[in-house]
Amino acid sequence: MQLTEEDILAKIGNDDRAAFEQVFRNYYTELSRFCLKYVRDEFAAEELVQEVFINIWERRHTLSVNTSVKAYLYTAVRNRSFNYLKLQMPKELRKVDVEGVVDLSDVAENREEAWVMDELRVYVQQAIDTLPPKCQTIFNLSRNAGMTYKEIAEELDLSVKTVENQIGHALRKLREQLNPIWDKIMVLILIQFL
Amino acid sequence: MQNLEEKIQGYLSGKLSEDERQEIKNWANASEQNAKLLAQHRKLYELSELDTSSFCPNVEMAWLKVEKKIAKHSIALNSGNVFYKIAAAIAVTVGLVFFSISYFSSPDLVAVNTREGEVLSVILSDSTSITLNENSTLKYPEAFDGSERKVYLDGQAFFEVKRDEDHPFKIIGRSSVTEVLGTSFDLIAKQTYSQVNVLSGSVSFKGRKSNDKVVLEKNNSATIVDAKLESFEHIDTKTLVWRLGELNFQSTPLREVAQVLTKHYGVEIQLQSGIDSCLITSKFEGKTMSEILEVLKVIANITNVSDDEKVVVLSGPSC
Repeated sequence: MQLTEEDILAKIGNDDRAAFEQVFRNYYTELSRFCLKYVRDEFAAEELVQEVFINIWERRHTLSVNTSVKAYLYTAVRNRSFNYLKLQMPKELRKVDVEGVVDLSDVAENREEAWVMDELRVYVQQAIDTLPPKCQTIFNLSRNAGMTYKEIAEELDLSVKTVENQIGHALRKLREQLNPIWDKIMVLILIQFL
Repeated sequence: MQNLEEKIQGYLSGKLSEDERQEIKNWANASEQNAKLLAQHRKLYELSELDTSSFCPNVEMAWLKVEKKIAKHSIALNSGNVFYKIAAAIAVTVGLVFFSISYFSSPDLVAVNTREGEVLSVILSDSTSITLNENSTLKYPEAFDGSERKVYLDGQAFFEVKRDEDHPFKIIGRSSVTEVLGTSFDLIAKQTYSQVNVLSGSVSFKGRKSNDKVVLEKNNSATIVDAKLESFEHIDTKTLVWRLGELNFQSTPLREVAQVLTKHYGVEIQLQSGIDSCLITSKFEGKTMSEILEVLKVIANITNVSDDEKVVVLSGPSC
């Protein structure tokens, strides 16, 4: 039997744990992935999505959903992600940490032959991990959550200038880290076009 | 230049107007240098995308967690009910010790919880042995597959990790990530506090909220307090005491006592000739290494204890 969204919400409002569980199971994975785009931390993503559901259950008697269930859930997860990111933000702008930077030069030398894009992707992700937290968060929101600088600034209570600086910094840092192997990447691009 | 970077990002993500796109194209065509820069940005843009589709959370386990939370909230609403309070009080006072091991279907993650006062040992599929302290949760796969061995800890545990250099062993905590190849160490992994004490081998210890990372050798320790990482060249024996439970020696030669202490406290003990066969009969519970040494000194007539934090040398005129 196919329940309509209104039915499901009504059931949840009447303390129907099974209906709630069904919604949870339907959306949990996609919401966790969606959240991951914002927080870049699998553990945190899961926790946040779980909190959203617990929160919904707690407010089930007074809950009013004007959009679709799906849209409601996505918005709730998005909002919670930003709350989380704001709390993660270090109070002061951290100095850039040059140590801990992934050293790609060895890799470039040893792996010349077996160089594949997937591996490269892993190294870039690792390089992103070594950026200072604030810089990392802002860069990620721009790249993976598809947000404009202005949107990021508003959500995180920062100035657009700060966002600009942080992304600029991230890009410079990442390009620097790829410096030893740009030539090879370019060759690879050429090959792809041939 | 800042503005240019934003434009390039916008260009790559397809968010620019037609005019702006043309502007970037013209800029790129203006010089080889610019073209190269754009190509670099394009590559970086592609490579920096986070692939979320491979993230497959364990829905079963997540549901159980949520279910537990919402059940707790329902009880809390009824907390006027005296029976709940009495039941809870009795449960705590009597110290009823029980544990639950739950097997979940999806990626075969097993969760082990310990209650107040309970210590539990778990052997993993790779024969790594884990002793879980009270009030802790450990999640691990029934069988390891893939390139690394990954477990999740909330609380405190002692690990003896089976050496396997091809498959690093990772412990994910709420505030730390600990990575080893094969060692033994004690780990506390909590929301705002993590501590690791290394008894053998080496351990990589990293905060989840900052990029700080430290590689620790035998007899080193490190803490993460509120995301701040600090490392030490000694171990914190006080945090290791929980695992010992009770040490009960009945006419045990001192050399065997020393072996047991070495294993538990990670401190090497050297006995000068003459005292190694002194028989020790004593019980120790929740004592630190130095407290035990004080007692041994009296029993075995030890006159000299030299201690440089790593090696303890005991000597005396025999007993």
